[in-house]
Amino acid sequence: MDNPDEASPGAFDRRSVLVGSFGLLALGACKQDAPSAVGVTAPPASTATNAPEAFVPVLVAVAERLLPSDDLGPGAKEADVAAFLRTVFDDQRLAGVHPLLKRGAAFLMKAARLEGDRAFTDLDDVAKDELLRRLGDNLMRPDGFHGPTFVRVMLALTLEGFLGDPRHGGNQGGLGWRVVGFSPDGRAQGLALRLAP
Amino acid sequence: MKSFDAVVVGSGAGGSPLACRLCEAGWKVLLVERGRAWQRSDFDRDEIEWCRRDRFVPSPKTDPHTRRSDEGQRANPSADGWISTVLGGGTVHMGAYLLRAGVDDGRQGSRLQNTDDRGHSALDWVVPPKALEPFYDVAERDLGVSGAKGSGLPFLSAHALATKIDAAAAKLALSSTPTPRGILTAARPEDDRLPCAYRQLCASYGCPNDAKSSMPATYLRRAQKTGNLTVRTETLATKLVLDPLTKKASGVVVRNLQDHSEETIAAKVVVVAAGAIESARLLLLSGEGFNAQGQVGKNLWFSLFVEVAGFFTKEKHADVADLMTGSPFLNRSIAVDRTLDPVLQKTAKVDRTGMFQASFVHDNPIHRSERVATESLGAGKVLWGRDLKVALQKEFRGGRKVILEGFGEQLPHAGMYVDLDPDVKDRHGLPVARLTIWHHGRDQRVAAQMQKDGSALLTTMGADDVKVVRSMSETTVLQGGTCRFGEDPKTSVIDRDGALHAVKNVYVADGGALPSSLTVPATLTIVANSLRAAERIQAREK
Repeated sequence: MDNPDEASPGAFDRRSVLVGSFGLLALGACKQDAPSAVGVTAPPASTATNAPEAFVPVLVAVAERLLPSDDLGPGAKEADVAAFLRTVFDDQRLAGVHPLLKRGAAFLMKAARLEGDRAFTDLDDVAKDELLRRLGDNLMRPDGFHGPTFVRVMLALTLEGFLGDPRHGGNQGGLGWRVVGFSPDGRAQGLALRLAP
Repeated sequence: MKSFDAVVVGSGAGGSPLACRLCEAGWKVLLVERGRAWQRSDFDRDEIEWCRRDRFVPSPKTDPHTRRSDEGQRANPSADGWISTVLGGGTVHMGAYLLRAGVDDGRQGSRLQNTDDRGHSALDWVVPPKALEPFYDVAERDLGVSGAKGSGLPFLSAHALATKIDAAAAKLALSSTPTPRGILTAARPEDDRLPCAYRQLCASYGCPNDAKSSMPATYLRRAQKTGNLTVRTETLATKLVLDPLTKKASGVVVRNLQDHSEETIAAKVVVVAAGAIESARLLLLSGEGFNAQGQVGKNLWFSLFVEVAGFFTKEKHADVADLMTGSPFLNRSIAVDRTLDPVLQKTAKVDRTGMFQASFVHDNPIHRSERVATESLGAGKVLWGRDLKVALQKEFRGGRKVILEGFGEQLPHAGMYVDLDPDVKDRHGLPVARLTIWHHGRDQRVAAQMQKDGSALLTTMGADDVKVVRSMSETTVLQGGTCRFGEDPKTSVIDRDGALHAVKNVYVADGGALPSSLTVPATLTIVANSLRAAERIQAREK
């Protein structure tokens, strides 16, 4: 890690209750001193012109590339991860990542304009993936946030929206659970218990 | 001023058994818990709420610990070192591996005396595991530990794959035994507890059946029946008060976290059982009188964590009945209380290592998917897009992933400790606990041998993709050492009865009392030691 404030992307503890995403999502991670490789500067995270709703469509577009819809089955779009992401900025327990999400979204908006002359949401899938890959591989060095951490946090939120309890928005009709074969009532499937000798 | 016979700070495995025994003996006890109480009807399986926000563990934004790896470093905010801030502590959602300490777990000091290992602070237990045996019996009965000697309850039903573990372990001359668990296998109507329903998700969640032997379902329920227990949740103990004349504690300052009011509660006896880290912090916050020899917070240990994983595909393991379904528990403990044979000791350069708990990978779907995304590529890279979907399909549909979670013996030393962070305060304005954590060289050797043993076991079972997921870290919820018991006040904090050397009516009853990390999870030992301390308190404070 080149910044001690960044959560380790793979960090986790033994128990699920303490997986790294707890710290990752609670603490957040923004850095101030990274050089800009593509000449795109992310705006300050808290100015009045940067209302959260302006960024949500970009975050939804990111989620739909992290977990795409394809011949393998439904993805973030069908599970309505967008509904979950729309709640993220209202959840103060996630306040630690709000600046990161805003900066990341703003950066992608500007980078898409600069490189593709269109909004990020209007880029084709290949172009979106390419930007996300470069950001996630730390090949772009945006000011004010760490690209790989942005991708890591977005992945965590996308999976929460895809596989979390539908009461949080997302995972519409338990679609995500059906995709992975998770039994929402929490009972062992089949309940064919066999005692090992 | 309100007054009680005893104030117990902390309601987990250390505080609740002791509080219960004192109540049963007719003492008026106040139990102070900083977290809130959850009811069994609250315990659904909402992964986001229970496992990924701040219900069990406070947010590191507002109530951090700080952590650094040496004294020269700035300590960074972290959630590490919190066990659980709810009524019942970590027992509410524990995996409940309740094993007894081995005799040699209590002899770390003498075992290492004639080795080349230097620069450590290992100490033999002044209360050896043997002396805890009667209390283990009682704890197993009280808690309803399935498969344990003291309870008479059968083991949990294990998944058929467990037979492959047994066979592979036998080939490698490792023991493989069913795990005693704090999970009921038969109803206990007298405690209003139902048996395990074999839900897919267990560890990390509270149990709606009260099958899990949490403190609220066991000792606290019984204590409340005596009419002698007062419980104050969402109440923070901020300081112990020392009477300068008697050199005894006169009470505890507590803060109501709802209305922020503060009061001093008078008590004949004060018991500190907030977990090894928070107990040390409370004593340090209480002033030098409670830390006369400067030993509070020293000799911190965690259970050493090693994890090895392997994958069992449906095709290759079609002989295993119900591979994809069946019991959610593999329920096997590998190499419990093992002393390495002399030949292996020479190559491994350690005499004991630790045990493995064999389990299916935790079934939380977000957690499991996130692990696939973060562990598949290595080097900090994450998997996403179509590649992630392919990997998830294999993970969830292609077979079962088995993990061996290691509980290794860690060696305490002067460089690993808890103190008060001079720069960081929590939302209540109190200095937070700063953890300085680095490992003695012996820990590396323990971990190296565990990596080898775990990998060999899964390979012998025929697993694919066998890999060491965590080569060495800490299970920070299994913590101790900071107030360890001993005869010498220069190297220990409490005496054999659990009382501070410095202040004779203040007792420590959590993992902080134990001088070394054991080679099994310490939870049952904490309960047994708490029951023992309750007896000693009654004998001393008549």
